[in-house]
Amino acid sequence: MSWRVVLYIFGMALIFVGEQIPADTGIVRWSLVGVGGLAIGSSALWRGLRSRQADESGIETGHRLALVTTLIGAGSLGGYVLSTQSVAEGLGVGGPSSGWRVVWQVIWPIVWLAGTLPLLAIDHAIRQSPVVAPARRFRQALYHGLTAALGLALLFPVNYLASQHETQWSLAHVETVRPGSATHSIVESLETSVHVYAFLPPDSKLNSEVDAYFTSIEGPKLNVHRVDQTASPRLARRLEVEDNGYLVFATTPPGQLKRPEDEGSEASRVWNERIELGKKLDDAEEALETLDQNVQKRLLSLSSGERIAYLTEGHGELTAEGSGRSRSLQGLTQTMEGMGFQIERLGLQKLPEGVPREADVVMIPGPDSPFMDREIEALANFLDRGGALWIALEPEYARKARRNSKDERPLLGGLLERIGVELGDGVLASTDNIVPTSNNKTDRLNLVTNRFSSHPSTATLSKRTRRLFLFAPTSGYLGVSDDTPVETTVTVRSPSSTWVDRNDNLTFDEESGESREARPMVVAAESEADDTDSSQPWRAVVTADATMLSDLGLGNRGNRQFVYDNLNWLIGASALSGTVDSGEDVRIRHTKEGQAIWFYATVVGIPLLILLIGTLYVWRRRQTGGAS
Amino acid sequence: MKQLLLITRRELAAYFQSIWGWSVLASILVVDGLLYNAFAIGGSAKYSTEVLQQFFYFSFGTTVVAGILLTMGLIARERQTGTLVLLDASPLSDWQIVGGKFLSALTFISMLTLATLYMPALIFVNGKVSVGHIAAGYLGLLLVGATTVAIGTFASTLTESQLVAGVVASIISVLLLITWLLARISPPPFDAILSYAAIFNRHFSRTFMQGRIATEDIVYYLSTTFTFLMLSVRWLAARRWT
Repeated sequence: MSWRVVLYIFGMALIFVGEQIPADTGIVRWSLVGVGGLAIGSSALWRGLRSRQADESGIETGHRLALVTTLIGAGSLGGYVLSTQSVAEGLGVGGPSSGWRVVWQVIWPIVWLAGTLPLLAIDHAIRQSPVVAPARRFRQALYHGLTAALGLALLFPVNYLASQHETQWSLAHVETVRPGSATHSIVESLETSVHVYAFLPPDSKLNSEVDAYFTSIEGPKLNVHRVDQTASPRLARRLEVEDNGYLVFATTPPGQLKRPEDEGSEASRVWNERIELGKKLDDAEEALETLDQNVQKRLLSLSSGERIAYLTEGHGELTAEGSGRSRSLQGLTQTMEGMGFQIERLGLQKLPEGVPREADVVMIPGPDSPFMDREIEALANFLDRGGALWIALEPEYARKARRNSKDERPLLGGLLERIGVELGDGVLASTDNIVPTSNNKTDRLNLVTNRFSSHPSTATLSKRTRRLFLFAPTSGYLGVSDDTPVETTVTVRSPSSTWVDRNDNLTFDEESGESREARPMVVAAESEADDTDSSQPWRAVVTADATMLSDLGLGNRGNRQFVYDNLNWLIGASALSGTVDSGEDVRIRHTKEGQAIWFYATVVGIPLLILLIGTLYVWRRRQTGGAS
Repeated sequence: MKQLLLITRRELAAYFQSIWGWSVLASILVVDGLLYNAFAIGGSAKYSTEVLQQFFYFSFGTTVVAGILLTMGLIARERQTGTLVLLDASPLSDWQIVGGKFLSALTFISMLTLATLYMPALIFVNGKVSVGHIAAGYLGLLLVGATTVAIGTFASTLTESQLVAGVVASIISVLLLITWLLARISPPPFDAILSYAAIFNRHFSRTFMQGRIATEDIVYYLSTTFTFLMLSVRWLAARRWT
């Protein structure tokens, strides 16, 4: 780069910096701009002199072309001045709607490029041949510089247009959710046909997603109507829909919906349930992921009304507000609400008075202090009324509480005895079939099992043992009494590698009487109708672990399916059991054991294989002299 | 076209007939695998989409590095060994020379990028991701690869030193990476231009990495690739006189 070009660029840089300084700073700004202009002028003058002094015609042409390009570059500054706010206002074209400034803002950089790049190319050519060179060389340099400048200049309008007319496609959502087998069962069992009104804009890509979901369950029992809210405002008003983007579930067909003039009276109100999707596919990603679960909830709610589940509290149970994932039942309550349950609490004040009549299920999630006699009596009465009871025992908490308390009463009095089960003493441990969470011995308590019976309460799990398993952190085990009129079934067993860790050392000690065997972890009990008394047949599920129902446990898909099927069995809706399809993303983390395989395969195995193939190929080629 | 493909084939063969090409391929896979294991699937439990996004985040970096490594010798080596004169004397146009070399490097980097497919495929073992997300991410990586290769090709035409070419390509790439930072301290309209030029922040992390395809980004990568190729051709043509 010659001094003339350095001076030119230096001048341009000074003007640029000067222009960034606020106008009210006066002397500094104008000094910089002035010196910059002087530098550019000097560069042009010097170039002109060199052109006159050149002895050779080719070199003279080169300098002349360089002078022209310098002047073009300097001329672009005029364009810049015209693009400034103050000049535009002075010319009376500075209004917001005027395109004057925009036009000059586009033109001056292009002119600057068209001057500067050819200047650089010509200057480079002169420096390469400072004494003799054909004029053609400098013309070509000019041509190369101009082409490069115009090519660069083209970047701006092309990208500007692209940003103004941008189109985006989101491919991140998981594949379209399909109805699970449970949804099919619910639709089959519908006694009244349900009408689904899909309020969506006709051009929305959501239409195809919604169609894909409903295609396999659409029929006489489930009618799907595609409606555009803007085209059918009356129908929308009757269903109380004010915009597109909703799925409305109603038992009323379109022709029987109340007329607008009947609106206002309570009788005219159409009982409906709805799911908010959004109008665009991008907005609906989250709703689509849980679509199957939400459709089930709406269908169940319309067909049988809302069910009510009571969760006991006041005895150290796990609660929805519990601290930590292993003590919180937030996931369980959400799952149950998704199944159409209304969740109520049954505390120390309410339970002694009796379980409310409307209760469909009562759950006792992991108590660690004994129930009062009146409470146990209320629960027993609930069973006699044909109720459904889920008792989730937590051996570890119960044991700790027992150590710290002098209260030796059994946790649930004679209730477990009545059901025909008892909680064994100690927790189960294993070296296999475990989930490592802390990478120490305590991981031996994190059991997983896929030993399910074909009982209706675990039917889905038993059919999918290769994909679904039950995660039971710190589980106890159950004893089943043979001498009972109740029909009991062990529905889940621990893996055969588990032992009861009697001495709390988390190590298998045969000498201490510990033995490895599969032990009952969950029992389903069912009483038979007895003609001799007035009691109704009841159902109960007892689990030797409550943490499997906590947020920690329900993070596992198998545990959610376990809850789903057991609740359906308890309320006598086993026919509705089945899978829930979900596009929901899942958290993944490789276990220590699994990680080693993936680690060596991805980091060492495949690259090494490629290097080996390459080495062999290169070696063979050298051996054959390149003939291969 | 025939001549262009001839150059492409010759250059591609050069990658595979030397242990250099295979070493680059294996090294990039090792680095990608290490980053994938250490950051994407390692540590705390993450959602599958997060794992995939982190994979594309790291793959962006390895693709840029691979692009520079593969292209720094494309033209510079010819000049260094004196074989560029032979190419100049051949009946090949500058576009054919640059295009053929660019295509060969692009093919190699595409193969390298696609060779990492087994890593996102591993997510399916425990997780659930959209195939579309993977496809969008890979489209982005291929476009990034094309742009980096074009930058590397341009840098390689500037000098006869492969090292200098690599440094120049790295400087250009880093500049494109940090323009969003420069945009923060620049006045209008430069801030908008610099912000738009950010190769990662504006055109990869918000779209391809998240499983989205945007026409704006495709145009950006293709136009940048074309511009650097055009500059390479112009520079190569201008150098014929020396």
